Amino acid sequence: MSATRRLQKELGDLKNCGVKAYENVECEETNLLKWTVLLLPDKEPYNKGAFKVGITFPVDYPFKPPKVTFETKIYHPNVDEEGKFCLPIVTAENWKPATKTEQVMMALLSLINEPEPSHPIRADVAEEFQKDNKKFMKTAEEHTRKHAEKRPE
Amino acid sequence: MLQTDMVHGSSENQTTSTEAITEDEILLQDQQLKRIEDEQKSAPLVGDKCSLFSLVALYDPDTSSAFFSKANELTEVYSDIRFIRGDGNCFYRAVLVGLVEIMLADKEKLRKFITSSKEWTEKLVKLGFPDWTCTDFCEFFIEFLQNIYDGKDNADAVFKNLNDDNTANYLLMFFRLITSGHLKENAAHYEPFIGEGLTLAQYCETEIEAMWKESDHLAIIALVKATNIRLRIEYMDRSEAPNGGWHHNLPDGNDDASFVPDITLLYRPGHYDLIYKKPAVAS
Repeated sequence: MSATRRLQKELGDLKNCGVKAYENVECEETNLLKWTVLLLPDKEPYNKGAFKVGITFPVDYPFKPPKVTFETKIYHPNVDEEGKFCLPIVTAENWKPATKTEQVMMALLSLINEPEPSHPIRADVAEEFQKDNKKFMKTAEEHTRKHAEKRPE
Repeated sequence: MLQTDMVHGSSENQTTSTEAITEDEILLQDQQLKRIEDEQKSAPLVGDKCSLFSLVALYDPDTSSAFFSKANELTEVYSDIRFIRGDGNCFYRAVLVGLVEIMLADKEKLRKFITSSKEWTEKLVKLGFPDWTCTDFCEFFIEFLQNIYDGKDNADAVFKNLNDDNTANYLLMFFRLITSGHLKENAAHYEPFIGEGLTLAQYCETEIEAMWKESDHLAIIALVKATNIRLRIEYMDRSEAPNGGWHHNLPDGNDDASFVPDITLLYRPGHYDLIYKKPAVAS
């Protein structure tokens, strides 16, 4: 399986990328196609918690994109209740085989840090974000406290 | 094969807006895509070389008389055809297979191509393809050629590799990268031909560097230049030929009298296959 060749190298790269926000990555012992990244956003209201992100690579990776979802609940205009979100870089139409997982994580981190209320997945949250930002921040912070993982020391 | 052409056409509708569509529609779309993919996969990536009369047999003399008579006409000059799967990669794949066949028969050409592939790796890095994920495709391609050169892989093994999805995808990706590389290297020359308000870099990213995207005229010229081959494309449908003739020689500006193509492709609307000239009869 050619996916292995690439994924082994990418896994090592991501672990040593030096970016705290997504360098905590684990892969299932018996399955190189399943990774979990601990995402550490640095902007409020998400900077008090850590969010588990699951990455599933197809067997024909890198020719088909990985599937990326939040495993930790997050209150965000661009992420739905099941942890799904829309990131152009990993859509089937836009996917380029030379794209690295690190670039995908970078794009995801930037989406989380800077919500895009004009392209929402959760219209209600987006509306709150725009019209009553104070309330949004409060809800999201509470949500983070309640559901998010602890940040590593 | 006709079926794959139809499949080709319908797959162009994939990139519709994903906004405001229901889950049912997504499910339906997924099922349709799956069916298209299954249909495509029923044909091998690279078919065996077979008589050109198998092309004639695809057309009904009454209902497809134009293609039927053109296919017959082609049998006067060409003897064989190698069908290539219609999945959006067919142009790149046809050139890949054609080149590999030449190199299997000519070790000196193989040696030169290994050298130029190594040069391309360095050139891509200089052109701003800095990621190891790009050079990884180059290294894979060079290793594939080197195994032929060292006698590790014989023709059977090579064709097995060309018919293995994952291996072939790696090799195709190298071709897509050098196609993009040639365009970027000569950006000033090609920029005016890019339409729809795209920059050349955006065009390369979305149309060339992504898999399963069909090649247009720009991609064809760029791959021909990047691989330094002489290519002839024969057209089943005269209206599709850029010069209004039945075939087109590349690079441009080569007249028929002096042009000896390395590779000849047959173009049927939306699709490329490899064709082979009859051996010259000694007079």
